Amino acid sequence: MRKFIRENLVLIMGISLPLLLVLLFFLTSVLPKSLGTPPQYDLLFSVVRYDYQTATTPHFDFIVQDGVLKVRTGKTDNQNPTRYTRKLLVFNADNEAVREIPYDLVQISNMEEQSEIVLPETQQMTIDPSSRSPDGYSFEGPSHGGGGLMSELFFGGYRNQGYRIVKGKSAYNIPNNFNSAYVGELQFIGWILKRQE
Amino acid sequence: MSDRDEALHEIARLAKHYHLTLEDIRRAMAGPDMQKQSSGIIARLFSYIGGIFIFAGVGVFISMYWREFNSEARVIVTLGIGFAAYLLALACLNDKNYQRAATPLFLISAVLQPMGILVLLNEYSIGGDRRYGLLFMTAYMLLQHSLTFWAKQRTLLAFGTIFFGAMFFVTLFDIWGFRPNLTGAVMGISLLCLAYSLNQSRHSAISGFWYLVGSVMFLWALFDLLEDSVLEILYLGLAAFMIFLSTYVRSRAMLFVSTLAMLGYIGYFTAEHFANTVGWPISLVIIGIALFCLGSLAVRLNNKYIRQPV
Repeated sequence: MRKFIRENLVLIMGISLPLLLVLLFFLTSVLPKSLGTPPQYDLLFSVVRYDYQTATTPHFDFIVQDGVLKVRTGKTDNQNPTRYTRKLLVFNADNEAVREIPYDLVQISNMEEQSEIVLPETQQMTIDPSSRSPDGYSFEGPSHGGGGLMSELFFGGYRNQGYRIVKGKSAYNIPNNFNSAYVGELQFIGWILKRQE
Repeated sequence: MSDRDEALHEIARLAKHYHLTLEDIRRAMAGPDMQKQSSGIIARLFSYIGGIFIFAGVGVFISMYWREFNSEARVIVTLGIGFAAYLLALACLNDKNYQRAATPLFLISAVLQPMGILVLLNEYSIGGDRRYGLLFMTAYMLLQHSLTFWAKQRTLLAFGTIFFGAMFFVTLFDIWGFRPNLTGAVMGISLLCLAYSLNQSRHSAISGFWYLVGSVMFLWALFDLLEDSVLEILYLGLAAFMIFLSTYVRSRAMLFVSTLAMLGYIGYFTAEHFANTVGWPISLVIIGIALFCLGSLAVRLNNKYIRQPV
């Protein structure tokens, strides 16, 4: 065996170099995730979406008050009607998938200016809007550097990792294929402490 | 050590490496049987022409009816024919009379199978990142070529193994978002190591190509890494080291790429720092002299250290 290694040292080096890189990446990225505690709470977020088929809706936003998700409307601008709407989405780290919470847009269209309502679709949920979840995970936007030596080595200190939830070295990427028609940034709402029954 | 002693040393090393006996060497020195050699060339020529005809026929057939084909037919005419060609090549290897047909058949399968896998994924996938499809294709081809190479020891299969292996890792590192210069540097060094090993083996015919690819990747990546940094000037030293290395490993392709890299860097450096000064015409003259010097140095290095005496 030793003789074989000595005779084929360069060949072994050639084959093992890319494999070493894979191993290094595995040790720094995949292993911490599998050793860490998986997130216990789902992430609730929204994305802005342009929908030419939807009737003009007033400007609205999602807010969390006393653990309850509400819709708050802004001022209606009849001169500049909007066709931008918001999709409500949940990221589940167990299966690393995103699902949409559909809600009735008509009831929002009928709302008064600067008023609030609780959506029936989420009224039984308890939401924590703090930046860090009770189990220590936090929401992170696309990274623009400062990821340490390994990040500098592998990704040149810059890496568009997309949106993710992170706790120490353990990170879960939020897939961005949930809707190709979304525009603008992903907006964090909170952590779902109690799910809808 | 004189040239004669060096040649004897080399012959002894090769004989030891390939387990050649004195009888084998004596037979080889006596010269080949001319009649046998000429019939061998004709047989090889016909097998390659046959391969070209088969490939052209399949290609024309596919392109003529592509629009009329449904998904299943598209997969069958690409992946199906490719896999059939691969099986035929394996069968040919086992029959002494048809061994020469194996190379064209392996070539056909190496083109049609990857195409077929990509067609299959294109027809039946439900979307997603296309790079995963490429990764799957390269992984399949790498596995097929490496296992067949392991069993049959054909040079073409060694080429395929390295080609699909390199493609696999480059795609994987791209999916993981690695910086391209890190990927280039690692894959470049890896390919140079493999080329060196190939050169020491009976597959030396393909080592030149991989020296070329490896050195281009490595030098390109290193330039990208060092460009506009305080260590940029080290690139000149690196190119010089690569020229030295090319004489050590006796690679003309590596010498060519390294010389070109050095010339390119000198040109880049002068254009970057002296372009808008009065010294620019002088710089052009200096570049010209550098071109002459490096060119003649490369030729001398090639003649002295790389070119094998006939």
